[in-house]
Formats: sequence, C-alpha cells, structure tokens
Amino acid sequence: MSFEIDGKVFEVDEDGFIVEPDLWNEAVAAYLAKTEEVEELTEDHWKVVNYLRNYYFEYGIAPMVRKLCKDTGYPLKDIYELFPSGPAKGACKIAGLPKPTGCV
Amino acid sequence: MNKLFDEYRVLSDRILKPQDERVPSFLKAMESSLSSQDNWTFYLPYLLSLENCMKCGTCAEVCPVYQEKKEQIYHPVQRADMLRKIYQRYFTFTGRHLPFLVGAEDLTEAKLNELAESFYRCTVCRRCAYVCPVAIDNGLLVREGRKILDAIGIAPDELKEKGTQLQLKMGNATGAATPAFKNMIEFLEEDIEDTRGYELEIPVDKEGSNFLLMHNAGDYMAFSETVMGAAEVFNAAGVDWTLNSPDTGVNDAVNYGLFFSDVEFTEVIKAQIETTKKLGADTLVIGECGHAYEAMKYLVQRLIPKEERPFEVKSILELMDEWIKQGRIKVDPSKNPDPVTYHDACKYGRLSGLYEQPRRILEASCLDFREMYPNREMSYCCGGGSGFAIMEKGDFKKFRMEYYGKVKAAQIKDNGAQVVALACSNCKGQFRDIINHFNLPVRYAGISELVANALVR
Repeated sequence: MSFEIDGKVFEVDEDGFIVEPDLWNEAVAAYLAKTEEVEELTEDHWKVVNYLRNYYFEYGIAPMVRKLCKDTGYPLKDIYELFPSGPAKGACKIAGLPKPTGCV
Repeated sequence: MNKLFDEYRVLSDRILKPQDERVPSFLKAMESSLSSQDNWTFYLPYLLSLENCMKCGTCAEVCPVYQEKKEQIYHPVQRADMLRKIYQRYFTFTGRHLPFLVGAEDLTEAKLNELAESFYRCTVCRRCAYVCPVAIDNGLLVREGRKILDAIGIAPDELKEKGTQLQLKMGNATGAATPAFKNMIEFLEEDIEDTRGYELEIPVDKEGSNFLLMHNAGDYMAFSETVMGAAEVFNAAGVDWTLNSPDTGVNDAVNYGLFFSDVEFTEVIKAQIETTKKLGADTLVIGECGHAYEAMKYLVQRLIPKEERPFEVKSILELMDEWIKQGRIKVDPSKNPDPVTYHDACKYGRLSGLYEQPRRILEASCLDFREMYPNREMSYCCGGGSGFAIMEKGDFKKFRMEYYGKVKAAQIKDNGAQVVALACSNCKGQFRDIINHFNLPVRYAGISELVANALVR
C-alpha cells in the first residue's frame, strides 16, 4: 500500500502508518491527517506533531502519553479533540512515527 | 481485502496468505498437536473437548459475542466444530472411512480462511467453559487452533512480529531501549514530586532485592498512573524492591505467547525467568496485567520445572491486599470519595481465582465501592482480552465496541459508578475505547493508582 504526493511515493503499512519516518514532510502530515478525521492541521496540532517527532528521533520510541500531555500543556481530553483516534494512533500516524507496539 | 463471513477482517491477507496452499501443512501441524509427546500444555482436556461436546448450546447462552447478535458464525459450538470436523475427518477411524456418519468434513482452503478469522473473533474469556455441564472447554479449542495456525505461519502481527518477537529482541513489546526507559523513570519521579509534593526514588536494576516488580511495558507508555501508583505503594510499604531496565534482559511482564503459541510462550517465559534469576529477586511481582499473571503463575507450571524457577510469583494485587491487612500501608478511603466499581478481568478471575483481593483493596481504599452485575465467575469479558485491545485492522475496533463493549457499557451505566477500577492493561485499553465510543460519564483507574491516592503518609 502506498500514496503519492507531488510525484513522490510513500509506502504505508497495513495500519496506514508510513514505513519510513525519515521521508515524512508537512504535506505527508496533511494527507495522513485526512485519514484520521483531522480536516485541517492547526498550530495546536503542529505543536503535538513536532513534539512527537523530536522525542522519537531522540529516543527511538513515542513518548509516554502522560509526558506528551505535560510537556505540550494539552490535557488528554484536548489531545483527543485534536486527534480523535488518540495519541498513539492518530497523533503518531500524522507525525509519521511507526505505530506504537505492545499494550498501549 | 476480501470479506470472509462479515464486514470485519482482523487477520489481513499478508498474515492469512489466502493465495497459498496451506491445508497440508495445517493437517501436519494438527497431527502434532494431537500427540502427547509434542503437546505439553493441555493435551488431555484438548482431546476430551474435541471428542465429547453434546451440542446442548449452554455455552451459547453465556457467550458475550453470540448473545449480542445471535449470528451462527459466533456460536461457540459452531466455532469449535470447525476444528472438530477436521479432527473427525482426518484423525479418527470412522471419520477417515465413513465421514458422513460422524459429521466429518474435508478441510478446504476456504474453510481454513474462515477458521483462522473465526478463531480471532473470540477473546477466549472461558465464560463458556465455566458453564459447560460436561466440562468441555471450547475456549481451549480456540487456543489450540491458534497454536496450529501459528505453526503454519498465521498469527496476528500485533501479537507475534510486534509482540513476542519484539519483546525477545528489545526486552519489551513497546520497543523501548534503556535510554528511553531511564527517561521514563526520571519523568515519573519528577511527576510524583509535582503531583504529590514529595520526593521518591524509583529503584532500577538493583540486584538481590526482595521484590522485582515487572509491569506490562505498555503501562509506562499509556497507563503510567498505574506505574506511579505502584511506586508510591512500594515506597510507602518500606520494602526492598526494584524495577528493571532492558539492560538486564526482559523488563516486560507480558507474554503474548499465552494467546497463540506454546513455542513463543516458552521463549518469553524463559527470558523472564533468566532475568529474575540474574537480578536475584526473592519474589517476582507481576504488575497490573491479567494474562501475565496467568502465564507466570499457572501456565508456566506446565512447561518449566519448579527447580528452574527459584523465586516466588505474586500479583501486585495479592501484595497490596496483604499490606493493607497487615497495616504495612495505611489507606484513607475518604480520599477516593467517588463511586468505584471493579471489572473482573478474565485472566485474574476465571483463569486465576483472584476475586476477593481486588475487592478487599478497593473496599479499604474507596468510600463507595459497588459491584457491577454479573461479576466474579460470570463477569463479562470487556472485549480487550487475548490481545484484542491492541488490534485495530479491518475495522476491528468497531467489532470490539459492538460485540463486547456494548454489554460492558450497559453494566457500567446500570450501577452508576464514576470510576471503573481495572487491574489489567488490555482491559484498560478496551475501557478507554468503550468510554470514548459510548461517551460514558466515567473514568477508569488502575488499582495501584487508587491505593496510592488513598495512602496516609
């Protein structure tokens, strides 16, 4: 499975997460957002997305949900408003991270 | 993906490989499952369950999936019969020679697809086994069927590739390496200080402690209030305890092998035992995770000799219950004034008999504890069991909500609780989705979190 933006092809896994987080860009985020019931990426969305990407590239894993909320200042309720399918699925997908694994 | 028998598909084509010829290898793997030499776990009940079902349908009366929509494909006997028909046709004398006499049927590739998908539509909650008048365990047949499927390369990636295999490689199924793990611990220490106003050191990798506490690694990521609560409780009890990092081996209590494979199960449990021995703990404490407790307390006994496990195994629920009784920790129920209910996780309840410990803990640390009905042995599975809580492909989350979640949501509405106390990560994941999906005016909490909140320091 894959999708195309400006002639560039992006592979996605069966859960719709992009296979190579390094190839991610803002246009990819906007495309993936539409698959997660997010019509438009606002400043609030970008703050979460950028935080996730920075953490992922430092530690090789998404941050703890509680840490994400504390460091970005958005309570979990707000994260769900921004990303209806939640931090692990919606937010990580739009940020171009791999799907979190284990019992999360 | 093509639909198989309804609008859902939990096993994708990549996993199911419908284009391949799989029947011969399935039959070979099944033959091996029918040999007591090769099947060490539940050989006898497996054989008895294959041979003795009376088709009375008592199990269907209590199956949460079947009761929801009464579709024949979800009838527990019909599901188990998929395996029984193969057994009759290929592994019994009459079935081989006079198949029509015993309802034996040839296995086709199309039937194999349906069997595989169907065996991943049941959480193996064992409510059916509890009521069977002749002690047939249709749930066990589902597990044995999944073992055969895994032997021919069919297992959900969430449980194997990204589950047991990742856990063996990284030490945990979340894929957290030691720097990430240490970062989490630092954050939790800071957060306890910020929210509770006191400093607490969370010991990591301490050798020779009395208690090695192993959480479900997913709790750090998604349900860290449970991890924080446990740290506060252990600290308040003043015991010698430690967590462990991936540097020491496995630092994740989960064992998804329990759901689908004795081979994977054994690999994981051996690694967990090795880690516990290396750290020299007297007691391995299993954090809030139902299947991990069943795995390390009971299923392990079928596979690893006692002398190779020189430590005690306890659930964090048993410990907290003891500590409250002994007065080792003091709790003030008025600190948890909201009405609280408890959901019996299948693996703690029907599979392990831990019914009273969580109730005693909650009655001591919450002002208004109320049961949901039915409960204990007849508790409804929440629908997150057997790894379902982490499966989402093929519209599976909707399946979890429509078939299991709806029943659970109704139970909660009926008893008016504002907090659902949960002792299992899969249950937490499923209730998180149920609460959102049905817009319930409740929150869920781990048992350790509620106890920590009630601590008198």
